[in-house]
Amino acid sequence: MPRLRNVAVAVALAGAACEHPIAVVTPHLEAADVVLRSAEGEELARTRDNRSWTGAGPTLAAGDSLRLVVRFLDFQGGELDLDFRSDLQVRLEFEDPSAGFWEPLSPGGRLFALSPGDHRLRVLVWHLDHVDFVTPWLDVAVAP
Amino acid sequence: MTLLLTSPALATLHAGLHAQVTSVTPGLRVTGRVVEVERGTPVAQATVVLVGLGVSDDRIRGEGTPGRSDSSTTETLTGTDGDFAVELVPAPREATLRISALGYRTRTVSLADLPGFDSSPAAVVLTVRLDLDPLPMDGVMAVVPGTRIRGGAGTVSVLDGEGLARRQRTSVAAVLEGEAGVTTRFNGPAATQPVIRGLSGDRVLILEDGLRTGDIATTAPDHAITVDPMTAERLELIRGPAGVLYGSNALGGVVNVVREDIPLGPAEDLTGTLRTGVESATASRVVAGHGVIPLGPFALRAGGSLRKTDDTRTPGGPLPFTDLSAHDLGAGLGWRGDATAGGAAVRHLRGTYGVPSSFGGLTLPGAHDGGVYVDYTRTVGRGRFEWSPGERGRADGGAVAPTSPSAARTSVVAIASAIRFEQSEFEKGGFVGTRFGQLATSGDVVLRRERPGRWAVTAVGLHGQWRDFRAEGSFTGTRPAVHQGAALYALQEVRLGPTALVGAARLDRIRVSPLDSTETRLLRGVRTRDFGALTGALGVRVRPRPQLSLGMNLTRAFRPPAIEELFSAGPHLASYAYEIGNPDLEPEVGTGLDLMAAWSSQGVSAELTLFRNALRNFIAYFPSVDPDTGEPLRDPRLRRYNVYQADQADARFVGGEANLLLTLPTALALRAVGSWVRGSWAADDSPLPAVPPARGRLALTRDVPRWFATVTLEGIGRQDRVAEAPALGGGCDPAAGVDALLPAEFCPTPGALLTHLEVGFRLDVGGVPGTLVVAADNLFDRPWRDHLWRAKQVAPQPGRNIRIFVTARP
Repeated sequence: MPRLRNVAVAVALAGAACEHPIAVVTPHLEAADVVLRSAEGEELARTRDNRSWTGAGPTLAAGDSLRLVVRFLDFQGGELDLDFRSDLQVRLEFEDPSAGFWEPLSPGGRLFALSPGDHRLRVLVWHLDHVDFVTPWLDVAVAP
Repeated sequence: MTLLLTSPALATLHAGLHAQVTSVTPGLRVTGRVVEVERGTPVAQATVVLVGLGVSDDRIRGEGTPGRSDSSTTETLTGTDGDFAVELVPAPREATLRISALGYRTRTVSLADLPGFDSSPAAVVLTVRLDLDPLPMDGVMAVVPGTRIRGGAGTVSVLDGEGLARRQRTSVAAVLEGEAGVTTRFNGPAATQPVIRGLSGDRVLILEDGLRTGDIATTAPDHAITVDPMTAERLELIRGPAGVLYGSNALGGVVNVVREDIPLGPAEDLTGTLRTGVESATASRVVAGHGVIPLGPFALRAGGSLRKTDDTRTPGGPLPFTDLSAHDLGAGLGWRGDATAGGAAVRHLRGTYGVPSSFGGLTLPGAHDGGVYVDYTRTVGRGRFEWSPGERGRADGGAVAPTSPSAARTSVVAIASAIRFEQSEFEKGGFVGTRFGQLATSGDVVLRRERPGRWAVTAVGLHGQWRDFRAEGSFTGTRPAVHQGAALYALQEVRLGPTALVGAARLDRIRVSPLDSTETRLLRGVRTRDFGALTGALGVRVRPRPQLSLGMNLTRAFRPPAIEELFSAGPHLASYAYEIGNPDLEPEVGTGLDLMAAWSSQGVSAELTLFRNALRNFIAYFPSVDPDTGEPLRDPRLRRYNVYQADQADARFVGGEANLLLTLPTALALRAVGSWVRGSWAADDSPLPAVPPARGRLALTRDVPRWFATVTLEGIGRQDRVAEAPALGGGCDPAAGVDALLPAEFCPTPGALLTHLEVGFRLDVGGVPGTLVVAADNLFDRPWRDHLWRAKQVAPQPGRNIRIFVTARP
């Protein structure tokens, strides 16, 4: 038995030595653009080459919330399927954190507006511990 | 009276000199044998000169030189067994023995320094061991993997023994700096890379005991070669593509760090080495050592090293984020039988080092904002097996001639390694910006036959390698990929009297498969790529006169595009760029021509090498321009870095290296070393980026058995032949702000003149021989700039560096 135990220990050590330091590769999100849609499928805004926004953007009043669906496009305009990527997390953040917040849901999430005024928000994709994708600021007017 | 000097005591006097002094003759009679230091094989046709001082004309007899009032000389050659006998009658008051042989370092022995020697008549019996000398060319024109490089040619240098002890510094590259054709690309003391004949990175093959190191040192300027030079027994350097049989990537050259973790040599006694040292410029403290324990037919070797440094000091102040902490431990078990030998070894290395980030309050161009620390671990397992039927002895005889001239010898050498490597780069705030991981294996099997006569050396070999490279993290631009390669190679050396011919050929097949084939707007066509090439070398060496050797190498080498060059798509902070690979890249193919001439006569050794290396499909990163705006393209992710894409065009490197060694009276020697390279694009002869300037050293040495001292002047030329800057804007003056600086490769660099001083003592403490070296690099603390460092416009190189190193070989 001691011999078997020694062999088992040796095999375990050898196996550990052969294990790849990065066993699972989770690639970066290689998105080119993002589209914001309402829950009903209406397109509210989209980026162009991720340099600027087109579209009116979401409209909401202070104290209201809006269900949004966020879709990412590859460089050829095709939608990326990220449903299987549990390592990615979509976030919307206001430039002024007191202006509102984002509640992630599936799919998309809900955007809450807290204070009226002209605000700016952007879309980020977190990949594990870092940001893979970030859009330019999108102007949002929050009604009183 | 007979004075018997014990061998261990005398060995310290002159690195292997054994002597016995008696007073039985009326004059001074010196007899002995000259042997090679490594194997103890006799050195035939060595010139032995006995010079006596303090005698007058009427006392000179025999073969002395008449007409000189106070000195006499006698000279002889060693026989085939290395034996010699010289005599001066009457005995002089002082006497010096000088032994020189082609292919070996000249050795001068002051007999007065031998214990027991006085002015009375005496007979001295000596065994003098000669070190192989890289200066005189001795026929190495292509090097076979798995074998030991012996002798030196215009393209080959070997550093070992005392020579290596005298050159110890923090990195392998820094140790090699000063060799002809070699400079360094500084990026802090840890991440310093060797540059050989203007080529570096993935174009220089770094080996450890003949096999790839398995780290990722060559993939980026902020990655370190994870081998501590204090653990090396010898460093072998092959300039240019003469190391083609070692594999692809040998376009610029090969650096082989020989540690001999697997003890195959005959071990009858406990042996070992203990080294320790300090350096002032980096506050480096290092200790390293190993021991070999004989266990019957087996031998056990264990060793390791521990190194710590603080931030580097420059003439302009400290260079933050350049400290280092590293250690390694290894053990190997080997055996040697009548016809077989083999063994296995493991080594674990771990270290943390900083990459320069700021200087004088300014963030360096291309630096990680707020500094970065790199943490690495590398675990290596390696094995070696040798089969030499009919001979008891080492099978790694080298690439020149059989050491036993009377018999043919056949050997098979198999070497293999498996390596697990991991590297994490910690950004400001402690988060991991990038994490790399790699599993790698490689191996060679070489059949080799050496015999007297025309067909001197024949070798056939098989090579295989595999590595699985992956990366993750916020600043990861490199895609994971698997690299597989196999090669078949052969070498034949032919001796035709004073002429030696070498022909070598290698057939490579390499496959690079991405593990992530996602395409982006900038990176298209990501796919598995296959590469293959027939490469080789053809060399000829003639010796029209005993003192003169002429040689020519014609080589063809290739390098497949690196994984990063094929598939990268992301920020590369080390080069302050967003780098995009090019999956359509073709391999680089280098055609090299070396012309060598060497002269070695009494008191003079000189060598000149001229080379031309034409590189087809030279890969470089070129700035991308936004087609809509005409402005430099900014990265799509962070809008922070300019986008550079890998592309290729033909280039060429021409240059030369020169060595001169003058042996002067009274144990003085003058050595001059110079090197120069010019890199250009073939299409228009415009300069390539990052080509080192001309460099030269002039050293005056006094070397007597107990001590040596050297003063060196080093000149580093101005480099104003720089590539034309692309339309990036900016300039080279840091006064305009770091953000307005052009990348360093587009800016000229002023020259510098540095002075180095070295004093060394050959010790014998309780019968343990050793060496103490006290040296001052950049003695006058002159500020100077490394042309190849990306932060050169902002920060100077390290200042005065006092080095104290002790080596003991119990």
